Amino acid sequence: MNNPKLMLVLFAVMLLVQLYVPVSMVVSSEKVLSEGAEYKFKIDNNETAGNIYNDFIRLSFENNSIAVEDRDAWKKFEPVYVSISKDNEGFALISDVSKSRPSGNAASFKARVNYINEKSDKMIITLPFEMYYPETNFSEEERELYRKIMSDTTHIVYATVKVLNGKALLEDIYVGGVSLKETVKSESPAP
Amino acid sequence: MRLQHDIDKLTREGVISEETASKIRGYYQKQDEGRSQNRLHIAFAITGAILTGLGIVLIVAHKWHELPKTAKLAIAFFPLAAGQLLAGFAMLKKRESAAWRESAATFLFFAIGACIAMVSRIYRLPDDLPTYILTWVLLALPLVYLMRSSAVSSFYLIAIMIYAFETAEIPSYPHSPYFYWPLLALVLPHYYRLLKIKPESNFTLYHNWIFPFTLAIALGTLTDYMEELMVVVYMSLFGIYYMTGNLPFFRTQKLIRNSYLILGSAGMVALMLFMSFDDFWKHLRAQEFTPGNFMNSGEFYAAVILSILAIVMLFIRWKDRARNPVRPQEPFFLIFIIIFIIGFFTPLSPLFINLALLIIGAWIALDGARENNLGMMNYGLIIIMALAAARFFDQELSFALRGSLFILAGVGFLYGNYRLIKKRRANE
Repeated sequence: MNNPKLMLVLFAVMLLVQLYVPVSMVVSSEKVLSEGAEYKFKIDNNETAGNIYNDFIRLSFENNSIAVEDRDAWKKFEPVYVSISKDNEGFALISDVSKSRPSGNAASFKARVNYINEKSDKMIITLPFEMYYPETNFSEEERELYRKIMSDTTHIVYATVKVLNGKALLEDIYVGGVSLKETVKSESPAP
Repeated sequence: MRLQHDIDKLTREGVISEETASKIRGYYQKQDEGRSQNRLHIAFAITGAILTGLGIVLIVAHKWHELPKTAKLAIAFFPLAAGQLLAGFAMLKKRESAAWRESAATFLFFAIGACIAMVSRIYRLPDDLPTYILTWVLLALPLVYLMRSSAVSSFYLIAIMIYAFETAEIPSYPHSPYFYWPLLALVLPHYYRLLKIKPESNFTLYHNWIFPFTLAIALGTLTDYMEELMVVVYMSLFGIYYMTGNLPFFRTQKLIRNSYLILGSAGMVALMLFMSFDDFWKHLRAQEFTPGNFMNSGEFYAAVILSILAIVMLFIRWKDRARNPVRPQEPFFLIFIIIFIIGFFTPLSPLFINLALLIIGAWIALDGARENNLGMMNYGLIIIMALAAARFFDQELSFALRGSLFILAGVGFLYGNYRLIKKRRANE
């Protein structure tokens, strides 16, 4: 490649593409957070309390499965689209699963098949917002505090998720209606 | 060293005068000093770029959780913007400086990965390592050609190996470990250019090691339900490496630069030592393969393709045998295929492997002794010792049989040694 002008043009195009990718990630994420429909996903407290690691929490959700007719039609880790609706209490539940993005008005987003329970013929789904990275230094004391809060089954713990255009983003986690961040702050020992 | 030796020889023979010899020595000494200073600048520049980048990351990580979102985004994009400015400056004003090109490209390479990772973390996007790696390497690949960056090319090779590994370990549709091969092809022209234009450069040395090493590891991602066939795949691969190492282009270089020779030979010997035990062959004979199994397996096609490539390579080597003799390890991959097929039906295959290892080890040791090459001789002896150790502890053989075999081998070596000494004395 000996043409300097062509090299510079290609170089400029390369820089633009390198910028475009993260910028488009920001723009589409901001759109989901500002315009997306809000859904509340109930968290399984006990399961989540046992999944608190050094720098993240793996959230376990109560409604993360759906019955399927033909379990051989699905493969483990396959990407799928889940359609969601609300139950009587206003919490989200999975109403349908499909291999392609569904048409129509039902909210849907991309997820993955975790596995199919052979006894119940239920598909357990890996939701795209299961990993939660607390915005703190997440020391050992803090992790203990999170475990204590999660283990307290007197409160309902849920995650608010914004859904738009096949994407779902975790907005926040609430414990008995109070943001988890605030709950942790209020229960932390004074410095 | 060789040049010094030649100059001394020419001076002794009276071909050149002492004054001319001194001028030649002085000329090459200046060249070497210039080259080594340049290498030092490049190495320091790249190291400085990496350390600075990592230091910034650590400081930011410490206070990350206290920052508002806009500040986090600014921090996420800052390295990318800075890296692009540096790269632009290097392209416009310092294009002929390898230190500038390589360090700017290295910084930008890591800045791309850091920016995408930080944006993903800020918005809590789903963890998807294969997509992350694929996006990162494809965005960085043009740096290899537009900035002629061999550092980025090296990182690229490692990154696509990790990609292949991740997608094989946990299937992440639509990703597939098979994508590794077209991704590898994208960077090969750069490696070829390095070999052609700068065979002696340090970057070529790094590529000579990184390329075959990462390729060998990535090849393992083809393993599926016909895993037994992978021994044929790897024996052919190591055969190709070994024969590549014996091509004149590599053979004339220092051994440390000839990674193909080292990896090829060591890989074949290690695989043969593993195959010298009966466990693998017993497991092979217990399998019930059908022709359909073979036709549907990636391992089978990999074995066929690599074996064909190895045969082509052997043909090239055979044509050149007058100038550059074919070594005994080179056609071994072909013999191994026959041993492997026999292994389905009889328990004799481990015996053939043991014999082959013994012959190869002895041949290398004898070659080393003949050429006065201590390293080669020791390598041959190490192969024999490793084989001896493997058989000594092999529980499948009875004590009596092991003892008899060791005595036979020992007597064989003593007799061979006696014949060598006798021959040497006759020549003196």
